[in-house]
Amino acid sequence: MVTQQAADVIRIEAEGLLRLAERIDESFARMVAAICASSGRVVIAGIGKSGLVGRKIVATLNSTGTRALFLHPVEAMHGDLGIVCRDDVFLALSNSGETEELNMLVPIIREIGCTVIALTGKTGSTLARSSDIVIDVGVAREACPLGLAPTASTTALLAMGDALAVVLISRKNFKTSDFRRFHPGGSLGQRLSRCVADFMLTGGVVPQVAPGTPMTAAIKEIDRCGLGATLVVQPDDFLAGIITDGDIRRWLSRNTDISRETAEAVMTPHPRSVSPETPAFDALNLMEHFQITVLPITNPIGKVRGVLHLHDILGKGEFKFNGR
Amino acid sequence: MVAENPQAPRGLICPLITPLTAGGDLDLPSLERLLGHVRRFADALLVGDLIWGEGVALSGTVRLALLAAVLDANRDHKPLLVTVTGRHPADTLGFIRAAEALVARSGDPSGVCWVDYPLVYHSNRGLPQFYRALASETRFPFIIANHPSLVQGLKGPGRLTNIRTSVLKKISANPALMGLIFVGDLSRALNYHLAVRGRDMFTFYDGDEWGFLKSPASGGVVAGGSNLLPSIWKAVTRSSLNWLEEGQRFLPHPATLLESGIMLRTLGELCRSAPAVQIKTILQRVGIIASDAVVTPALPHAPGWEADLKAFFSAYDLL
Repeated sequence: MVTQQAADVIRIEAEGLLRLAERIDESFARMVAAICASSGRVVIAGIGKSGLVGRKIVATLNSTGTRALFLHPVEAMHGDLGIVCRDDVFLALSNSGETEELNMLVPIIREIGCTVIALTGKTGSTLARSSDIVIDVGVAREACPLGLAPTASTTALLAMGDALAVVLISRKNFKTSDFRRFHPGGSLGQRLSRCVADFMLTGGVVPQVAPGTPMTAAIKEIDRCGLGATLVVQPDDFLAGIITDGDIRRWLSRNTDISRETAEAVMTPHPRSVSPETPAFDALNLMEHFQITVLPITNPIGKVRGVLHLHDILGKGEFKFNGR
Repeated sequence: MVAENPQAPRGLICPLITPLTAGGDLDLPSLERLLGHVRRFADALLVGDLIWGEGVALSGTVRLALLAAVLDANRDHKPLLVTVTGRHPADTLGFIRAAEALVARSGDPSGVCWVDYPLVYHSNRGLPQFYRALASETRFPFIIANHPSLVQGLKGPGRLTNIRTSVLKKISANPALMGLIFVGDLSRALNYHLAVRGRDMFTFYDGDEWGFLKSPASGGVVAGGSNLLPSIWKAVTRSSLNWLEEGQRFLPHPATLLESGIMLRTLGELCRSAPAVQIKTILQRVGIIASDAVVTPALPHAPGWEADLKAFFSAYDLL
């Protein structure tokens, strides 16, 4: 009974969201255009649950590169209105569209010169009629059995806010580096801020041989470090190539006696490499895409600085394959 | 007679420095090492350039030995641009004939193209006729270079140091001319573009690294800094020309590109006053060439240059 009721609530909210997706129209595009054209901020106002959702939308917009602030309608009428300027875009959130405190505020906001956008469930409401753009966030029914507590309607409002933020990310060409700038802490920040230097192996544990090294010695070097590969390094530390277990296997499938060969004859010359400053996330993407287990790390002119093994990075914190 | 429909290379053109021994001979092991360092990243190699490769200052023997060595090492058939400028028109023609014979012997004539700085030895007057005559002597196409400060340095002040726009218009009518390496201001560049608008496939290259980093020419760049930082120059060139290719997903992040641009500009600044001497010193310090010997005795580096170089090496962990 309890689980069934919970599942029904989720189903009702999901239905509300699906219907919402179908109703997205030109008004949404106008809202995005108005925000992009504005040199000011997005000011969001709402009362009660809508106000709480409004605060979340503000947080999402700010973290994704759109300046936003929350204005409490009551506080606004008692002085906070001074924060609004004519270049701002005003988003009024109200499911009923008849929230008195909000509707009192809208004419004043219009007088300041802001574009007013209503996110409401009732497109014929007072709020909708007094707004420049109306976004319909209505749902057929609330999940609350009494039909009183805002449930599906606030979920719809929240989803519309996310849709707005995501579309603005694309329109404003917001990049991961910008996101990192706004998220210096937390797991997302960690995922984006760590660089290869934080994970790479350096010094004596980096397997390396000279190009003229006999393959018997090169294989011993591969065994010594246990990475399944060795770098082939010229004098002055320039990277010449790499020998992996796979290179040896492929060589043996074509030839017979590898012990007479030198590292230079068996190596893959000029392997892909990255610099120690490369974001670890990019290095992992590269390793996944090209199926690389051991990635040489070089400075800008190709001198070896270390080696990165897939296991040293995969599974650390937020690092995982994209599965592409 | 120039072969039909020659294709101009595009992208990163590396003007190879000419590694020399202390005795002034070509240093072949260093050249091989340098080629191994740059060849994978450059879209074309420029041999014996006047700015970076010490061009006319080299003896004819060394210039030809350099070309022979590069032809021999060019196993991946990279387009080769060969600077043919001499001190006089007859020098230029003589070098073209000798170089053409070398190329013919190498058995790999594809992708060879002559680069000439005409105002070093010729005036604007009669230049179109001169190129018609030159083109009739060779099967390889030409790229000409306009470099006012080089011309001024070699011929002294008071000379006309730029190819006149009207002259370029006439020269470009010659199908043997494939492009122009340009150094100069943007208004002249625009006039030059207008002058050659009647020509299909006439390619403009930036002869000035700074110019390319600021407003890239559509054909690419002749970047002396790519002797040291070929992979960085390649990434910046690809990105500037918006080239889409395999692996583009892993093009550097814009922030990385910005930092790369700063690195290239810093290197450009370090090599600005005496390009060949300074880049050779740098290449020798990082271990790519054995000696920083140059043909013309070099003046001591400016005060503060060593400190700037040390800071550059340290900032980018190059040593």
